Amino acid sequence: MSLRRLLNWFVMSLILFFVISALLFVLVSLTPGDAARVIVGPNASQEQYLKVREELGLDLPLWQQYGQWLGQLLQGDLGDSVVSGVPVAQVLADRIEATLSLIILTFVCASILGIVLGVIGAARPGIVGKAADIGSVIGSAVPSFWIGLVLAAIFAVQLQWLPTSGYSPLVDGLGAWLVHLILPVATLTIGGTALLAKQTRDAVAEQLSQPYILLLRAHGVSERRILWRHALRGAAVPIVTILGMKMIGLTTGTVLVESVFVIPGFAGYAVNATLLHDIPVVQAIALIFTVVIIITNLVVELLYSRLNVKEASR
Amino acid sequence: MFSNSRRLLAAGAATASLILLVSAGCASSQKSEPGADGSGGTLAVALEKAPGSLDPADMEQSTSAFAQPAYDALIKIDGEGNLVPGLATEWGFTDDENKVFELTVRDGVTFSDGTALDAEAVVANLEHLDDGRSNVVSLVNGGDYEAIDDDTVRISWDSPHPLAAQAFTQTWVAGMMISPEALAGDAEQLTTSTAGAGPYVLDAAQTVAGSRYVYTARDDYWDPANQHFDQITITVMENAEQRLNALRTGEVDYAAGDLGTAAAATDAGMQVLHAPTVVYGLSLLDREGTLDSPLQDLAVRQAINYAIDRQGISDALLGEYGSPAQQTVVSSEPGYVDALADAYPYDPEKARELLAEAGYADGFTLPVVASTSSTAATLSQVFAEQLAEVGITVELDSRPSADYFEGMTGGTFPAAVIGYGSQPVPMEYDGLFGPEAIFNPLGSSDDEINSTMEKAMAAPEEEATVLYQQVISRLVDQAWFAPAVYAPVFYYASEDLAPLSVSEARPQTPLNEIRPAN
Repeated sequence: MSLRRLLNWFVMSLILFFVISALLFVLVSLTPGDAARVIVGPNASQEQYLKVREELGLDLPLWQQYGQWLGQLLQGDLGDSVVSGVPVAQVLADRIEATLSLIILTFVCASILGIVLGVIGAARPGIVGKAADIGSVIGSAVPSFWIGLVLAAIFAVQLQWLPTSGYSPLVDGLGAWLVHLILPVATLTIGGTALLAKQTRDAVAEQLSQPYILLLRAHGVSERRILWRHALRGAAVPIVTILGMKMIGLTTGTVLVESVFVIPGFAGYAVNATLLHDIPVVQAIALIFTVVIIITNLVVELLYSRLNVKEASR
Repeated sequence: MFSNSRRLLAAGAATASLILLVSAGCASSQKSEPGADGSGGTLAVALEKAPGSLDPADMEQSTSAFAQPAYDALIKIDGEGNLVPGLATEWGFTDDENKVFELTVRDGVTFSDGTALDAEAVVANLEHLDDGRSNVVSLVNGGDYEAIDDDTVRISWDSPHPLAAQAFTQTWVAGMMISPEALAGDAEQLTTSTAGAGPYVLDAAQTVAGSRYVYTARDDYWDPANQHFDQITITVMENAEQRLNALRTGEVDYAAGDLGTAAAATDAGMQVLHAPTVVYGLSLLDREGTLDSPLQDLAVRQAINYAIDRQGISDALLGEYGSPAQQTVVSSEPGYVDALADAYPYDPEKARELLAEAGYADGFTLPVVASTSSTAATLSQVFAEQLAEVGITVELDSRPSADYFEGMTGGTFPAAVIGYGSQPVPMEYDGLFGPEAIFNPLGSSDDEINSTMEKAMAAPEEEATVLYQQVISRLVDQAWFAPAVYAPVFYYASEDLAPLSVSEARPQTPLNEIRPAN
């Protein structure tokens, strides 16, 4: 990627970010109620409510509130949660491990499982291929929260093998950490793997029909090497594309799964913060998701050029 | 390749079974078991809503459970609703107008940071409350606070504050005492840490604000006999099914429930605690005709009351968990009037007659705002059906909670479906039916109610109770509301805990009173 394109990308990302943050500000303020109401509760007097509203600066015009928030952000300050008064940076720091664990573990599991299933499917088109097809359709059609509820009902409530909810930080031991992540990661993996497996299978199958594969076979290269090395590499572009999408989908998919499994991550907390009209927290989480999406796109771009693919294939 | 993939499968299966083994071990060892004497271990609690702040002065009352482990209150309410000593050993009004209140502070109490509790500490707390955001501070704030000696505090107000003692209990956060050292330092810290005179201290390192709160027992607690666990954890789980699931698997010992899961919790062998305290019904807001609705006519409001089949609704929706309601307070509350228990018997014929007399023989259409929360939503449908039978067409506007609240308090609806937790009459006057009350957005005002309340506020307890009864009778007589049922708040407790009981007077057990079964 040339320096010019990198710069271009950077400017576009900045614009994208500001558009998103301004939009969110407006959208959250359009929903009824505000943080002051949440803080004082339903039985407080009007006077009490107005006092808190003023304290929080919610009586200012919206553009002024946004301006203040932006000003703070440019100084590297994410502000304080208006509901709890806790610095937003701390809210995120408290929760980032859980969300990252979830995203990374799912990404690794889904990638490996999806690619392996896809390649096996391409090598053995018959029954395995059909099964993969059907699995893909079902896997991508069923909503992940439903998968989560079913898994929790079976493995946690019925069999009592796994906890129904919660998260155990890594410092408290690898075993407990893993145990708490199995169901949420499985939930997210089931949905995502299906599509990845299908795309991989199609892409690898297409490579296998290319003339160079015949040439390799003629040279006596082993079938395994052809499949896992040459065909898979040839199929890398669509796979990377899907992986990029998968990564982006995951950041949002965790929102639901964190709610279903009561994981103290920041994705599920985004929903809560929205309900509480806690704008600084909502904005910060949106910022992080935007950054993740922007970086994922960059990585995908870099991988494309690394895979030495012509521009046309994008 | 085939042999390879088989090996892969085998390895995968081995890993999977290993993980399951590890998990089975972990799942069962998640909680430490109580010690031989029945104390120790962890009490794991699941509640539905996190507090905004852990500072009692900034805490919304409904989240006070999060402060209970760390903050003892000046006064306690026992299971029967009696006020009993807490950090204060004696209290009471010293004048005859409920304007001067004195408290005697317990000796030998220290806060978790080592500071001792004395009269000055209480004064510092009262001053701190004056700046607070809590919805209950108005019950005690705005006075002159004075430490008369080491143990005695005197509060003087310009106006009567008859509920001061109730406000200082563990249910209403105003009585939770914070270390004066912490107040003098960076008081902001109190949103995420604790410095109380209670049995536990928040473990900030293990706490994730908004999700999970961990409290550990402290050594120098003044009342060690009432310190039953080594640790209390409170996890926020919004969904009642999730809370019940966590109870079933033993991850949680005690949880907030709801009507929809109560039967399942009973089937699962839980202790199901419920005391009917929430009054569900219609608030007939447009009593003075501000919106020019038929509700300005007393006969119409009474007709609506006759049109509601309270017993039927209670039996069908609440079963053993609720009962019919004609008043906005529960029977244990001073001011409840026994004689009103059948004020408006179900009589659709009479309702139609009253409507015809008022000139609505052909009925009318009534816009009603309602919440989509499960109990309220079901009730709203039933009200609409029953009113339709006497010719009133209810135009139901059902909204999720924040939106409902805007609608209900916005002054645009002549009537609303409400679920209001029964409170002492002066609190209901401030919040539900007084001219300034937020649940009275059209500001309806009744001279008789206002003057009786004014007298009651300054009256000694027994006299006040009689006056409260007059107010409640007037409300029923004037049909300002059409209350339908008393519904409970639910809590579930595992069988590993000693039997708990709740009553109308105290529908929620303070966390510090929960103890392991022996």
